[in-house]
Amino acid sequence: MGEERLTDELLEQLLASATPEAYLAETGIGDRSLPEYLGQLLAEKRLVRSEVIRAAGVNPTFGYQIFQGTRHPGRDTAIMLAFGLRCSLIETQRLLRLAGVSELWCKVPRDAIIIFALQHGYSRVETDDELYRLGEKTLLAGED
Amino acid sequence: MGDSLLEALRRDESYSVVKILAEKASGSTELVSSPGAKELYVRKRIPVEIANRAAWVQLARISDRYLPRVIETYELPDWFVVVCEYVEGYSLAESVDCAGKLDAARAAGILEGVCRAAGVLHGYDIVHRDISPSNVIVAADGAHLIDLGIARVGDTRSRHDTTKLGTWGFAAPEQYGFAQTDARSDVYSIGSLAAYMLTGIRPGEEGFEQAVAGLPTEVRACIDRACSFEPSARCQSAAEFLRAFRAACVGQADPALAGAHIEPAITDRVPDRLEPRKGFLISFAEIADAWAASSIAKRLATAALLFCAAAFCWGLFLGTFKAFVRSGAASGLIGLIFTLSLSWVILETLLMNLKAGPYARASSRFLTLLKRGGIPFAIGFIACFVIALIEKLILAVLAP
Repeated sequence: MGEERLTDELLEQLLASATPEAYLAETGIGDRSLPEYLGQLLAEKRLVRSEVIRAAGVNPTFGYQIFQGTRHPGRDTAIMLAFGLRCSLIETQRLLRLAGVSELWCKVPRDAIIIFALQHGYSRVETDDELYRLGEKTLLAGED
Repeated sequence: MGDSLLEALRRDESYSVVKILAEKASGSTELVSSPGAKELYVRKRIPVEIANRAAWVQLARISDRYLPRVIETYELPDWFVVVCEYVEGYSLAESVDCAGKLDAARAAGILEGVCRAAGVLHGYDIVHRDISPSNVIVAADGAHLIDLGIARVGDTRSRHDTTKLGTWGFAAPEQYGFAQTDARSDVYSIGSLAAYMLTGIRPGEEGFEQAVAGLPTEVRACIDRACSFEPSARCQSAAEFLRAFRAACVGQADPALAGAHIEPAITDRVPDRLEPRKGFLISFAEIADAWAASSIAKRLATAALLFCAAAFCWGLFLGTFKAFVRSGAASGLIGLIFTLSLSWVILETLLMNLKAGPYARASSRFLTLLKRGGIPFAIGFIACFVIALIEKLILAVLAP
């Protein structure tokens, strides 16, 4: 991850560029897609898809298709996958961004519980228990 | 359903890719290693729409030295995946392209393996449909036939085969949509293969026609016959072609052939048509194969075991017969059933020793033995028990 330039630096470069195309051409940022990022996480953390899907509690066919890139996850499904991949908070936010959904916002009670769970390394099941205990919609039941 | 997918995914991910051998629209072929085994395997991914599961399931049941052994198959939502053994050696294409044409003796040797493998497939009603130089591996123990990616189990309902075409120059005309393909399409491919081996040039390339014309008359006639446009004009089976080819080579007194050691007995063993394999019974061909494949020590051990078993069974049978005469029908019957059950178990043990039939590639031969031998023995044992019970009851009723 050392080669990746800080988002701030890239922002400066973008603001300094004459046209958007110039910036894109120079930095060579493609659209990093969700399946690619998932694959990258798998490789980094040395996990296998079957274990991730099992831990996430996602429907296996749906999970397989998400990894293949043939289908797109909803917000809750993406969060479940983040738990399955044992992501940190930053990785989860990036995953949600790539999935095209809103990131976790600590001002929303439900998101706050999820952020807490991620930081403390809870599993998906434990997180759902906490959500249920505190009266919020659980991840598994509320798949969109 | 979900669980089976996760299981298939887990199996898929347990293999690590060593090298990608081919990647086409019709699927990918990779060389993979498995954590549990030291040998390498070939993993083929075939799109589910064009995968021929029936052919692969059939192939999994066949155990022939010259056909790829199927290790396992599983299915993912978009791929049908087959893992089979990796045969090490140069493909025929590599050998001939590098070293040039082969002499008749070498060609006959390779054809023997190819025809035999094709014959086995045809016996199971499978058409290979891609017998070409790149699908024949020349290994240490002979020529192996691989890559049944487009193999087709005989289906007389459809007028035209709908899946991929074979290799240009080696595929029979009907594979391009003229008619249904069958075993004779493979014969066409084998004929083209023979021509390729003897001339060193592929069919369809420049100079092929002249090179074939330059072959000895009888050999050329044999190849021309195998490559007739009309299937009914060709040799009707791979074995027939092999016989004709050998006859043609011998007929024109090829000096290279004189010193070669070719066993005529093997030609007869290439099956023209095997009986469809019934699940439980074992064909004699399989036992003969296993015997041929065994070492001397194994053969001696098997013969000794067979002799002891025969002596044991005979002694038991005699004893049972005496008991039958002496003490009434029921006891005799019990003895007979017991003898038969025990004999069955001993025979199954012999087959397990020889690694014939269902024991050829069972992952756990002992478990298979327990299943095949244990169940009949248990049935026999229960039958004896029931008969003894009935006898007791009858005696109790008749003589209170």
